Amino acid sequence: MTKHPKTWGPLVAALALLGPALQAQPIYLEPGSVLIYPVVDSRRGAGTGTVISVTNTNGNISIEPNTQTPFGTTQVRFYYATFAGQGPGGWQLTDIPELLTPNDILTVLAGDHNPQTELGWLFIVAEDPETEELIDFDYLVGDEVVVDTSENESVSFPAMAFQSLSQENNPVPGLNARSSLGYWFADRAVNGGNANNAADFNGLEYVRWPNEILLSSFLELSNLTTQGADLIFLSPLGADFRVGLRFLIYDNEEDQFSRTFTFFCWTQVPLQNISSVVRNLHGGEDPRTPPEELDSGWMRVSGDVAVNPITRYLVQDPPFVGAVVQRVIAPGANYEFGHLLHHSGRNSFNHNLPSTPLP
Amino acid sequence: MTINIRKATLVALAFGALAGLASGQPVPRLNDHVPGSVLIYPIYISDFTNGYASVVSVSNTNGDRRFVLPGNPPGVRGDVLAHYFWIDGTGTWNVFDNQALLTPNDTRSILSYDALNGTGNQDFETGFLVIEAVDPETQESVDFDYLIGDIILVDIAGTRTWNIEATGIKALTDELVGNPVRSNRGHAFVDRVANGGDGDGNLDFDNVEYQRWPDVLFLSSFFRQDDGANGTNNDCDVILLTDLGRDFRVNLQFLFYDRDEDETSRTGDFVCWTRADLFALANITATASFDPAGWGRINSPDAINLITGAVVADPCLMGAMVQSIIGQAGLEFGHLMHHSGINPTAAQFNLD
Repeated sequence: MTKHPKTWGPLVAALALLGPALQAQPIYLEPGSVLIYPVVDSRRGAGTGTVISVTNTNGNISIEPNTQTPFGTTQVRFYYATFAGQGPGGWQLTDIPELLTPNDILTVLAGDHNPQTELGWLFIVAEDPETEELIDFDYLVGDEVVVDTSENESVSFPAMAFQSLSQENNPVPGLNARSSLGYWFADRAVNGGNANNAADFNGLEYVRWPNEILLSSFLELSNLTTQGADLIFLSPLGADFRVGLRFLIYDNEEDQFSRTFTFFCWTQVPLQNISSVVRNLHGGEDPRTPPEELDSGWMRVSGDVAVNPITRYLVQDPPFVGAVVQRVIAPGANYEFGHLLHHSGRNSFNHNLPSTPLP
Repeated sequence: MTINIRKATLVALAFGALAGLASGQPVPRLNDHVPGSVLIYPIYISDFTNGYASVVSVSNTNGDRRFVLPGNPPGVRGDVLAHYFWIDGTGTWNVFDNQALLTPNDTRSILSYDALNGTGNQDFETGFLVIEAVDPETQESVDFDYLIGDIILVDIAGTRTWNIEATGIKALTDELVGNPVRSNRGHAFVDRVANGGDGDGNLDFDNVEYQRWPDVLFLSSFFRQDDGANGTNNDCDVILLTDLGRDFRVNLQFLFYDRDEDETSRTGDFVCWTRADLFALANITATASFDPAGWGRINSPDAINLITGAVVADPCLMGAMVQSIIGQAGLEFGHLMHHSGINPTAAQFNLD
């Protein structure tokens, strides 16, 4: 009996090392089974709107004989996470299921699709249309356009795709491992899931979230024009956690400045609220050196600790993702632009969406 | 005895698996949003006369300030030379290159005009940009997966702007070679034969030197091309680039899907690099069914050398898309294209 673990130990250890090598991180721009849209802004009074698109790139139109459903069909469940303020309870979820047939695209105006959400973020999960269970359906891509017609501003983000690993981790499916349409159930115990009706980003059901977020560049705040950058962060930990972030900000002289910041659920925060260093990125050098460069900086953001202020439950290295929107307001013209933030590493905390309550 | 054989087999398997890691099997797929040793910016515009400009940023996320001894020039381990290759996208495939030293945690944001036209170049109004990490001492390619970047594209007259990330491509020498030959700063040489490279001085995206490119590109959504009847006129441009240079016509296959999932297949082609109206490139005139939006799939079956007739199967592509509401200031937005798979053909940049 004692020989068994000794015999299998090296193999298990090696395979455990090999597993994460298959896919260590989300690949935002490849099709996935969970999509995250970093911002939904439907504040009609401010003249804004968000156009959401989700596309099913699975083109299998063969008919499954029992259900008479094309094999490439999936149900997608929209979860609108409504931002209700910085404090406990600042997140309310509204879910809306939609059916996507093979090669289908669904484009909605978020304010019409879910009038309850004025501001927040969105995630979409792939489900089996028959059982409504989560499935490994790495065929979804998406994007969003956030428009402010009153200011003539617009910005577009691809949805961040997170791939399911159920099929990769269970190449030989067991009994009841797959849906009638042939897709691995992501949450079922037979596939290594924990059967909690949530998408767990633990390297078994789905890929882990990034460990560190990188803002590749931001421009110095200028006196000539009003310009600045807003950082958008979201956390999957639910409504009751105050998420702490650590910032390392680098100016044009490679000087490092550290800051901390906390938020609940979701935030869009001006960079100058995090650090005033963004107003002077060239230190004591004047004029800037070398002259052909613009004054700019970059930053590294990592999770510090998240705390439930009521129960005092702590999460070290909380997961989060983000995007950036930059804005230049010059005489007679507004310029707005943004992109998803770069990332590195794998977050080790096992979390899920929709979030199961933590203590 | 049976147990010993099984144990030996399993131990061998275990070490085999570990060796598999060291030998890079499987190699991670291209992930645009993680730091890399090569950055590809799918478009730059540098046409001040007509009111177009770009701000190009690159950041070195390596913060290692340990001194290098010996070193020529002296420096620290986190130094890297960013080698810029500006490729003219007007069909000439002319390349203008320059370099900048990035110290640890350095960022460099420049106007493309200052780098190109300001130096006396009158060409290079638009095209794409490649930045390669090279050793400051030997000027050879190094495995330095610490570079990230982005570009802001500004239309001053139209008061429009949009912004995309540079695609980061990892060098694989550290992943593939157990004990690679390294620079004095400690970074593995990518192109050296001793490290599995082919020593040709080119950037080889072959899953040996650098990651391969994707197999298929997706337009995740595009709005109906409005004819102006509703007071607006939507425009969707695709930006495509290849590694094959000016002598190859790259043939394209488009599959478009409308709101009813009806499929429309079209063909098109381009040379070197293009920014083109999507429907003009794909020769589509009836767009009403793409209301409010459609999506598309792009791949390339082959590329033909216009001089020799040589054929390259499955040529490599990268791309981005930008949409705008014509006549409406400010409403321009774009992003990198989605993608899937690993292209069976290795891409190669010969940028000399």
